[in-house]
Amino acid sequence: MGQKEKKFRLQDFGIWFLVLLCTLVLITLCFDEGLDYDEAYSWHTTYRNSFAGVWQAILDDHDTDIPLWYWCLKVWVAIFGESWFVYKLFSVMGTLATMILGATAVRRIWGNKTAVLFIISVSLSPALLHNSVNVRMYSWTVFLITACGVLVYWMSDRTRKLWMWILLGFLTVVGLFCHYFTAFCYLFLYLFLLIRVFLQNKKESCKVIACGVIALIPFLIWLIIFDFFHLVGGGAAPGVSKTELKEIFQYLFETEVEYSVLLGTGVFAVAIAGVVLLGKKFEKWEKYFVLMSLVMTPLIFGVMGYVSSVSYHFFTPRHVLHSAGLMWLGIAIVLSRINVMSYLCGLLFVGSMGASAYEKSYHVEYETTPYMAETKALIAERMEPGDIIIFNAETSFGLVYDYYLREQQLVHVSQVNLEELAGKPVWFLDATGKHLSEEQLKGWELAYEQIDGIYGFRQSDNNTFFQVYKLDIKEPKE
Amino acid sequence: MKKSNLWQKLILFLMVLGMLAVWPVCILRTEEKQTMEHDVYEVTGEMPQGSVFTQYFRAEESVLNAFELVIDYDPALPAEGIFQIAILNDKNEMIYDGLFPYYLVKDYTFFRLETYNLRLKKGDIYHYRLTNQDITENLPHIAYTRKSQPDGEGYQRMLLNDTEIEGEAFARFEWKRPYDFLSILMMWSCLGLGGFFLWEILEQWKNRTNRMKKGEKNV
Repeated sequence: MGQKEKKFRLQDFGIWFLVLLCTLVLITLCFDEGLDYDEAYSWHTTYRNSFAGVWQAILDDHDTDIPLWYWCLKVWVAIFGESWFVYKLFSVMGTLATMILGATAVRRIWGNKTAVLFIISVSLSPALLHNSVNVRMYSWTVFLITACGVLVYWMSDRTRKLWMWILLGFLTVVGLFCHYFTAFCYLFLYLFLLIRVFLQNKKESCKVIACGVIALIPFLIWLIIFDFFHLVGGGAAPGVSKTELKEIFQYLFETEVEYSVLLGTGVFAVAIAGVVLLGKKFEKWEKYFVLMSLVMTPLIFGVMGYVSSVSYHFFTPRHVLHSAGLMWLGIAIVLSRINVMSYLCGLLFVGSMGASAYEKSYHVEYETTPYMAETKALIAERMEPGDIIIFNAETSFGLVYDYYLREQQLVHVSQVNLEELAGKPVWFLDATGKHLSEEQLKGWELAYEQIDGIYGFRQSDNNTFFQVYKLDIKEPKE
Repeated sequence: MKKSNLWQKLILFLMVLGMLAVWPVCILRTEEKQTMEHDVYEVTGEMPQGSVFTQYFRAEESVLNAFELVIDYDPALPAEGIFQIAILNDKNEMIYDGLFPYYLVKDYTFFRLETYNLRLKKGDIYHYRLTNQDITENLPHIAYTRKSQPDGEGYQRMLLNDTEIEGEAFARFEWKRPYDFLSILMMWSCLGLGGFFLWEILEQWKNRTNRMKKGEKNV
């Protein structure tokens, strides 16, 4: 084997070892069973509904989700079994797909240095690490948008064949049907491709438009069914989102390190300055692609903030995450072009940022559920299927409780009708101190038997820990 | 790297300075406030003019940014006069000295005294002395607690006019500690990235200038 071939094989091994290592790091965060509200929603929508039921549930909930990701999750769980580890692994697979993209296409187009930086940042940067182990669709939308971006760049540089258009359309449809706000990312990518193709061959530019329109049709049909713009339902928009741009950078870069947001934003700024001021280190259209990848996230923030205000949908920083993979690709390309020392500093930065982000995620996954074991033991040993569970945390947190008490019947304290519960085994989870009202108690006697200990699931603002009572509901003797 | 010009050397110098300021020189530090549990407190007897309240403490870090104590008095009456505050080491050498007016102090509330990054020797015992310089009316009292503090190890004896007070001294210290390992790495890498990036910008500018001097076309 020649020297060159040996070197190539070693680099090959190194890249794939890095992918494996980052994947294993993510998997180490998948062993706890603490759910946040969004994850409980994912589980509830998937577990409690058939495939058709998922469609109806999403229509009824009027959220920013679309059924495809839930259907895929349902299939995944059906194959690999019903356990929270399997649910989390589905999210890890999304990030793994992005890393494989890095080890293959990104490496082929931009080289090993870019691929290494890209693989580490898409798996271990704060927001992406959290979403890699969070049971939501974002790790997959990051992959779809990044794959589409790489494909668009690659296609724009060569003779375009039919299978490329089909793949582009497929990635577009799949992404759109995982989350609404991917639409804005696709808009920029298609615009880039359209301009490039138009300058090369005006006639072929209609293929870009045709591909986009064909991919958009099923999405538009869905928007009409969903009444996204309130064409049928009417109603007033709630006003422009209060999320600020700095919250986006906070979401993307914040770790436990002081000034982490400032440092991350600094690296982002260096990347933009690099592509602008060191333009000669890039090919012309490569420069435009990198610039687009970098500014897509803040641009989309502006567009999404407005759209969500007129379409009556909430908007959180997580909704710009779809383009984060492309942003990191842009940063990786620039940092690997400045000079060797800048690249090494960039590598050190993403490595230490990743370590800090892991520390934070480890705390969130494993140190916010101190009473989980005893709570699950109590449920398993004392509560029977069909038991009534009254809870007084926020109504929406019934979804979280539902995961752990899936065989019991949950009732919020505000909706208790003692007449219906008399004679049945009833438990009370007291998280807030709010008890039954005088109106509810009229004519009834309640005996509380406190179960010793503190219980709870994941620690969160309004759904922290609770005391457990066994209730004995008696109608007083006349 | 190629031979660098003065500006490039300056940038690299500033970059290295910044890194050293983070670590090991540790000019840049992070604040760490000692938290206190809310507890039942007592107050000392009155402090007539000339009285001295002394509290010993262990330096938990080598930089003290500020400390706070609680002075009790009748807010309905005027608070006129001056306090003197001093920090001394174990050899009774004064290393910090200041005055503050009585009227600035809020009754039974933590009152902050800035020490402006006072350098101490970590682990050594120091003490601060609060002296009533010229307050003759509405005499102050110092609050303290009889219960042990959560991190009571840092709190030592307290005395009022050389009489030891039974209980745990009560003050909040704001230390400045060096950054941890990951913070240092992130800051170093960012400074390095910024420095080498600017170096490269100057390098490109230098090459362009050289080409222009050689009369190249299409610079």
